[in-house]
Amino acid sequence: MALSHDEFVALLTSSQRRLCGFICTLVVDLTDAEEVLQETNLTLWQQADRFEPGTDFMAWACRVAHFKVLKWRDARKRQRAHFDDDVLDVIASEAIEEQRMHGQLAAEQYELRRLALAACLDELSDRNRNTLMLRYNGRHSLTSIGAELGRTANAVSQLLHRIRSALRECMDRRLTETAL
Amino acid sequence: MSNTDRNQLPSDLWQVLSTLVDGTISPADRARLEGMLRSDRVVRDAYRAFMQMESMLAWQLVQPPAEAVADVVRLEEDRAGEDCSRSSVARSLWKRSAVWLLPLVATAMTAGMIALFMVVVRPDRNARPPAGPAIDACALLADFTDAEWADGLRIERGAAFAPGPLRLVAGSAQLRFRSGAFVTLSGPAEIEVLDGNSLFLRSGRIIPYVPHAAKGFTVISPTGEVIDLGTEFAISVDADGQTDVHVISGDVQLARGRVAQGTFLTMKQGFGGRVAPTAAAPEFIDTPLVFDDFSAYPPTLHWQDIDSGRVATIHDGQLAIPVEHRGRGITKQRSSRIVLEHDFSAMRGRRTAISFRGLLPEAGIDGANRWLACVIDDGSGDPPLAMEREAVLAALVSPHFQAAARIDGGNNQQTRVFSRDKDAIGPYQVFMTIDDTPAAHAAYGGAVADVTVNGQSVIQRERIRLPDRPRIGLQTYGSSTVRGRGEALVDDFSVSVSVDPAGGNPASEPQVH
Repeated sequence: MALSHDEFVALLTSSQRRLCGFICTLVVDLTDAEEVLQETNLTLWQQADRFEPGTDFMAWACRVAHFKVLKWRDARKRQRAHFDDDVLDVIASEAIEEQRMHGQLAAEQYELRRLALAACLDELSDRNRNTLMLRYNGRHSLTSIGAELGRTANAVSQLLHRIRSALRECMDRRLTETAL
Repeated sequence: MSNTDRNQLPSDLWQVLSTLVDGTISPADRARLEGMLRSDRVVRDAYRAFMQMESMLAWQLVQPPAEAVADVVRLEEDRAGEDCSRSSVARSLWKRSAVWLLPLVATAMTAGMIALFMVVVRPDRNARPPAGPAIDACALLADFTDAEWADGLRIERGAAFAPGPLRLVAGSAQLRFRSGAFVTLSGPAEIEVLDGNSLFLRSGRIIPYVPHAAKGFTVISPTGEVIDLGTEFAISVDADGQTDVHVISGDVQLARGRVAQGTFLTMKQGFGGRVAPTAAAPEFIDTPLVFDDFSAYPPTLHWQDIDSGRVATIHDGQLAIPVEHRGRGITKQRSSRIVLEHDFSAMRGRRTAISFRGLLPEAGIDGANRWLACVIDDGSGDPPLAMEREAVLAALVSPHFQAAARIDGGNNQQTRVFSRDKDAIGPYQVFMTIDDTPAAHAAYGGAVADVTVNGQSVIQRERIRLPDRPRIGLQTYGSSTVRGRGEALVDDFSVSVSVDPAGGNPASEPQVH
């Protein structure tokens, strides 16, 4: 029994963030990840009738995405590959296995982390938030962010590292509080 | 994941990961990170958590570009009054029609960079009077490879098509019709989108794939009409309007003129049919379906790597199958097994010819034993290795025994090694024939096979046990004590099932209505 069109759309749209996250772990670069996500979405559409309702949608989507990543890397002759295939394979298969076994839990945890991150972003100073906007919304290079902020690329790199660490600690703190 | 044991993590891991995503990582750190990821699950978990946050930041901080929203609105206004999209567009674009577009829209928003994520292509506004009920876009450009459109048109993935002509000069493209049908065009090809489940093929070659839901998908040619009954087929139209159809799976109906008006053929998997400009009726033909250009063929629908569930890689018009072995001191074997998804039941009772050109990898796997084989098996369970028992026929090429074939697995294994020309890498030209006709049964007591490799006959008229549902597969294999990988390449792959070599069609097979 196949899913209805609407059900499939709902699954696909609600999985976009996490699917992009999964692809990101394999291709590292965000813009590359979005490119692969586009191609993955098209294939998921094409093969919608192959999805078996009752199985984990994310796990299925991740398997398709993993293949798309390999294809994408091949097309680029692996120039932009950060890690060997065997490393990517193990990372992908652990993520998929976790999703397959604990799909509901993974979805809930993702949502909790996302809410925690949103709250932590609100706590950032304007300057730090602006830096993140340049990096993630504008997709500027470290050099051009540096030019904007009047700092060296190296200093921007350090600054981004500190902001990420602060966000991670804030998230962990909030998640621990939630758990209590 | 937040409970990862921090004590086990290298102190500078987060710093190194930061430089990784910012593109400033040093080669030494990159290598060290790769080593840790390879060997340490705790590091991998931390890495995944880090990348997840990275991606969350991108989604969280992105502001939808104003232009993308504006384009959607403009599109709605533009398309009012158009055929496939009349009336309901403005309402439906974010609802029903958005069904196709939502993921693309979502991604476009996220990317914050794809302002023109959708183009409505309407090359000829006067092509056709509006007809039928109001529906959304008729078709969508799902994918393309090196596509070159007439008039220098640039069409993005996700572009929506209203009814109208469309000319692909070179390359290949896939359209998804509203019904769910998928159509692969190989340039040069000239079509006209008629509605959400039909098209006119003026010239060129297309391969529609029609899932059950899109049953009834119709291709009209200058001489005939093909109605698809939930299947896949290839159809080509030459300069004179001659229409050739090959059924890859399922059933189609082929008529001169329109199916509804008179005589038509119902063709099953493996059959070819033709409507010649001068002929009064469609006829069966015996020319092979040639998979001559893999890039023009929808690989996701056919070639599947059984081991990983991935589909095979296609590049430069060739099917590439990895040959890989993992070495590390002891001999580890690895095979890649790629099979045509469809069974070839049509082989039963007929004569089937298979041919392909194969090239083994030269570089990257020195000292390795490696081979490439085309295998006929019964499709039960895991696909067999060519030398194991499920195969009934295998044409196998390898540098160590330049070519060999094994027939009739199980208790009656036979191998013909006819050359031991070491280090011969190919290319190999392989022809296999399986004859299961009544004539073969009369003369030999069952199906017989012929195999020729590089012009040399390896198997001649030898009995094989053809399974009920024969499957055709391509497999590679590599074994070595050293690690390595390469790709075997296959091109000019063709499968041809003859219509009627013995006279008299088997009952219930192709019938003229």
